[in-house]
Amino acid sequence: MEGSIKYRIKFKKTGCMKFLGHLDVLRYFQKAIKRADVPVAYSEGFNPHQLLSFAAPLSVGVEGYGEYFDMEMMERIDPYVLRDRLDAVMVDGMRVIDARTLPEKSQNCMASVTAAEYRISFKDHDFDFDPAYSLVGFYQYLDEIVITKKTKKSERQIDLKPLVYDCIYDKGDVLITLPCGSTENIKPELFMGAFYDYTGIDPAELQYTLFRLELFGGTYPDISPL
Amino acid sequence: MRKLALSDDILMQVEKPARYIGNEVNSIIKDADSVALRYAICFPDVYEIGMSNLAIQILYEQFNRRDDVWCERVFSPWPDLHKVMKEKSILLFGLESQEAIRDFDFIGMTMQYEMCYTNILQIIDLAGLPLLAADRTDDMPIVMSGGPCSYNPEPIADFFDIIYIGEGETSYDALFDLYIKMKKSGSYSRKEFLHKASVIPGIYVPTLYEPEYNADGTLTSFKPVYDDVPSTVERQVVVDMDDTAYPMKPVVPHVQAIQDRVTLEIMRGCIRGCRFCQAGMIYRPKRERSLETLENYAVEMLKNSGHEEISLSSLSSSDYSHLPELLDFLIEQCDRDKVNISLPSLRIDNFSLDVMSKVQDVRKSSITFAPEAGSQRMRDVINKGLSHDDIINGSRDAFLGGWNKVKLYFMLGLPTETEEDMRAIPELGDEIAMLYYDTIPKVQRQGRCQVTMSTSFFVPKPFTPFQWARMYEKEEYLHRAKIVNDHMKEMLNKKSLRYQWHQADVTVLEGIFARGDRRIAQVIMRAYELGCFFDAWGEYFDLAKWEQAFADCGVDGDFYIMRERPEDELFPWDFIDCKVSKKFLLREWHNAKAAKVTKNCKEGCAGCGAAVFKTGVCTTH
Ligand code: SF4
Repeated sequence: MEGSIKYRIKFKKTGCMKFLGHLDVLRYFQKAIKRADVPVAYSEGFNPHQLLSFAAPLSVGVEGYGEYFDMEMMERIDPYVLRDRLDAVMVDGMRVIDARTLPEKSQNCMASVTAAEYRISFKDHDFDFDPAYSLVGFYQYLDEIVITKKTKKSERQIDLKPLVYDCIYDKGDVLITLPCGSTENIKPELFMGAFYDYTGIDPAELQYTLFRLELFGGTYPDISPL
Repeated sequence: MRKLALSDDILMQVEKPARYIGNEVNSIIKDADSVALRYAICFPDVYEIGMSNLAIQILYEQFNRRDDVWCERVFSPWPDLHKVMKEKSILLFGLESQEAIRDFDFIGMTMQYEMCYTNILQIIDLAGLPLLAADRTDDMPIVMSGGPCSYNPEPIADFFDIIYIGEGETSYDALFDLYIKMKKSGSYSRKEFLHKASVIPGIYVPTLYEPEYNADGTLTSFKPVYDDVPSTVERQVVVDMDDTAYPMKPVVPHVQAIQDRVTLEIMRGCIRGCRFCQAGMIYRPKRERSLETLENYAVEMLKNSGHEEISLSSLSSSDYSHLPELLDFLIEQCDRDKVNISLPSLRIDNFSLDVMSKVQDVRKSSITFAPEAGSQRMRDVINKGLSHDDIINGSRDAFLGGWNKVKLYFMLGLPTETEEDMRAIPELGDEIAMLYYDTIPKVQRQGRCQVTMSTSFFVPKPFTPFQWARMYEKEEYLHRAKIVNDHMKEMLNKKSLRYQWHQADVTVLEGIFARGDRRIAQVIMRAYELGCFFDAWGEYFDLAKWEQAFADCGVDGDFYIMRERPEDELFPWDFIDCKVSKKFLLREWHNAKAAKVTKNCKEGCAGCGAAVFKTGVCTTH
């Protein structure tokens, strides 16, 4: 909107709130913004709506620790004040952790995302090896990880190896960074599927919990948090 | 952080897991050890429907105002979760604490429509309790209900320990105080408590009454089993509408509710006296909230919830005395705060059209009339004070104001209905379409006008002048819809007309539940056993199973609906003193048959009986 100022909000979605779907999170924030009584900008016409743009949707059941949306405001407001006003109206599990002003001509959140970092945390299991160690090994020692990616329309063979930006061992878990967004999008489940296929491990016997830790913009390797 | 009742694995298996997690904005958490009474308030349908209900939100607010009570919400688990809970023996839980409601003191359900009856059993079953009140023991919660269906509670009476007759604002405190006192003094037993509770106004304890039947199946008598139990139960009514609990901090649902907005209940009751309408009778007299109260509610509710829409709720909003002032206030407020206003049930006239053009897009929206019947004769039978001229003039004004879509609601199967009355439905639609082409010059038209007619099938309800009326077989209803549809195709402007009719499958069953007696309970139980629930949802309704249930129990459903009832018949609901007298209803039944119109409460008092409450419109005469 003409004359509006863009802010980028960083939030956490944890605990039971991970069960909210993307549209429910959107509605949750629309109402929260109203409760916080901040000067958000609206579209014109009957049924005006807030000018918000959310970054990549998070799957139901996954906790997010570095989630983002952009909001346009009618007037300038101290980002810290904005953050605190929004954070004050959250429910358990939701936190607004940061707010900052964006330059006038910047791309919106949705278009800016290029990568996401996840934590893969294995649940208790009966194997006598450290699966996190195996997972990192799987990534490091194979020259190619070819999988079939199915979309609604097509099936295509892709090699995941060059698409995994990072895959490191971290205190019994694995941290993995993957392309995310509208250009290239690789879900961690796809990578895990390849791991199960290759090792022949039954996914029911080795379950894991997924966390999304951060969203990035920029072109790999030159990426930074949104 | 609270521990959820369902594991992550289960929640990931089911549709919309956020239905089951609680933790919504404005939901109330208390320390379970510091309260004397835990109440599970339940709407026996899925979360999105239940969270749209105002009664639940009002009682939630009212109960939780007490420091010694913690009230939590419960809704029907969707069939996918139902299956998992049955397989894994998981007990139904309150959304706030996530603890089993089996360990609560009360489970209270609101019954808004008859087709939720099997869902009542689902709740009781998943709570881990016996379905029949008679089989429950001292350590189990009291299972109670209220709401519109409680005005004939008999088909479901066996399932409840207590049924509350009337508006919840009046007698709950006395009930809770009695319970807490008996528990504290150690004198509590289920039997003693229920016996004592039965004297509290509005409290009906089904196990303390016994029906006797004549050889022809009608009731001989319906009497309490003890002398000190009242023989009639009096409907409870709020006298001062500005002095009630109201959900100024409504719980904001996580999953989008059917009505995703705040509701402003401007008044209760209705002056119109339509003879088919149960709500118009059982909520008498019309009582308004003051303008100041409503302005305050609106501001607070929007601020506290963050909702982006507000709707007015009442049976006939146009009859609210301060409507222009209230709407002026809301339009100004909502325009500034970018909140939408939704305006249901307004009579179409210049005032309402003006208001509507301010709050909605005229080109996209439609105007709605509910003539309920096509012919003036039929409208006189049902005492619908909406004349042919009202509809025509209203439509003309709407067309001139830029609208070109009209919706019309009708009922089929009304008492004394003839083929001529049915044919009058498309004829009225045609006349309105014709009016459009006559009124609006060709160059100004935005395409064709669109007149949509919908019919539902009439179901006679207790405490209405039509409680004596008969119903028809499913085939007959569909035949009537066909007459309307065929005749519509003969209309000159048929290309501008649309006709939709409801399915007749549930109509007959709804009729049986509405005016059935205690012998229906076994059928509902049997149907539940056979797998019936979510009957209000087309995809789950299974007529064949219901037919089997009636056959298995040897109950003849036709007895309840296929005969015009004699004027001296004792009805299963006659023990309820609704304060709208049977004498008045009978007089209205006679007037209906003579197509004689009765004045509405504003024009003159018809002496229905509700004046004993000494409030609302009755005090203006
Ligand atoms: S007593 Fe008269 S004014 Fe009051 S509700 Fe009945 S008919 Fe209307």
